[in-house]
Amino acid sequence: MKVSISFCLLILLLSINACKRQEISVPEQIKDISGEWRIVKAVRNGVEITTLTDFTRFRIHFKEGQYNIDNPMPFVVNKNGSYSLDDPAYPLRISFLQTGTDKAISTGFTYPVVNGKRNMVFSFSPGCASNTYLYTLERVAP
Amino acid sequence: MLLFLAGCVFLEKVEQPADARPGEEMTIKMETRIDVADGGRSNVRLIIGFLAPKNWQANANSSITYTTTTYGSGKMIPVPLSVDAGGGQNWPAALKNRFGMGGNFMADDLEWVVFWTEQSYNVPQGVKETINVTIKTMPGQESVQFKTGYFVGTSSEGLSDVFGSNNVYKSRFMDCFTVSDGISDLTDFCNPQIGAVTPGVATDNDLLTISFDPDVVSTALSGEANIYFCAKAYTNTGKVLDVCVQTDQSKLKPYTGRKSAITFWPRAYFSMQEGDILEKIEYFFTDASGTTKVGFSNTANPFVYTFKCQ
Repeated sequence: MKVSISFCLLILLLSINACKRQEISVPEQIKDISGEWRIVKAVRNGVEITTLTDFTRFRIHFKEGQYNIDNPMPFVVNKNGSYSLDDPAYPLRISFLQTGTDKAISTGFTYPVVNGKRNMVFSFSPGCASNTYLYTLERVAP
Repeated sequence: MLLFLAGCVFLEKVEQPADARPGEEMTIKMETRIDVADGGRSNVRLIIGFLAPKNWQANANSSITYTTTTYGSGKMIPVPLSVDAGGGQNWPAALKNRFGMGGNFMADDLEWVVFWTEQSYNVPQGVKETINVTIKTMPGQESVQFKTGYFVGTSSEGLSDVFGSNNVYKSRFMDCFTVSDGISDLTDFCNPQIGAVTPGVATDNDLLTISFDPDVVSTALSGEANIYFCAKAYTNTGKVLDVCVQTDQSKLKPYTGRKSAITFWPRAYFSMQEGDILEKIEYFFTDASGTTKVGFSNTANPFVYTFKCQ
């Protein structure tokens, strides 16, 4: 009888211990935008214009804080330079500093996953403020 | 049998000025009436809408007030775009979808401007109330003509056709309305154009779409399969950049309907130097040889597009 009581106590103690909360912290992944990106969708003032002109040759490469653009189109910036994100894990804004200028251009962007692929969506007005463009960029498979 | 009828609305009268001047406030009066036939409504707002060129930025540049006999007076404010007018669309999009843009051309440069009463009301059964709405809005600095359009409805019924179409909302389109003596060439939304440019206001750092409509009048290019863009661009430094070639770059692509269009970035298309700014472009449409040219209103004069913002 004694044995079985001790055994029960042991089980009880183990159970109490088992209920101890264990916190597992999963850090938000740092958003990595490095690589080469192309335009897959372009919208001007709410109307899609992707097929109206050749967006396919535009490329923007992000690498180690620097970016460069091939075959530029109207975009947030047109000249190469450096970039930074406002928050490595939850970036909402990206700042571009074009080489030879001292004023960064900061713009909001989103980073949705579409069909299993990360996209970057930029909204900007390179000409008149009343004209708004929305480009969806997709990473070019390396 | 329907257990209740909705708050039917009526658009009795619209008074708008004969014309307007750029940058000078204009006043439009709408006489509307609401008739709650059976079953009251709570938390209702009156909604009104009107068509305006996008560059008027009428959401920000309009003040709208209303008066009633028994419900007092008040002001109206833009309906937030987060408000669902039905089918997940905001009000401007829903009105465009349902009523169109009044037969205007280049409709992408026009918008429905939609306001509602700042205050919401409880309207019991049997209410018949005339609501006089005064819209004060500010035309932009450009010369423009377009066909005006108006809408009245309520937040409780939206664009519902449960009680038959056109009962709980009303829309009306009117004749061509002109704002003259502006800073720009006339933008004519009322008549189809052989050549049209979108957006209506732009700088050389925008993407311009210039379209050719073969169905407006018969031209020397009627029946041509391929149309080319032939242009001269004028900079603020006095340079004239001439790009009149017939290549894949200058060839118009299929656009809406039977129209074709070229969409380009002027700074790149005209190989501009840094620091130069484009003031205007003059252009023709040509055939593949470049010898047959069509200009403004089917003449030998070029079309002109002047770069400007607000």
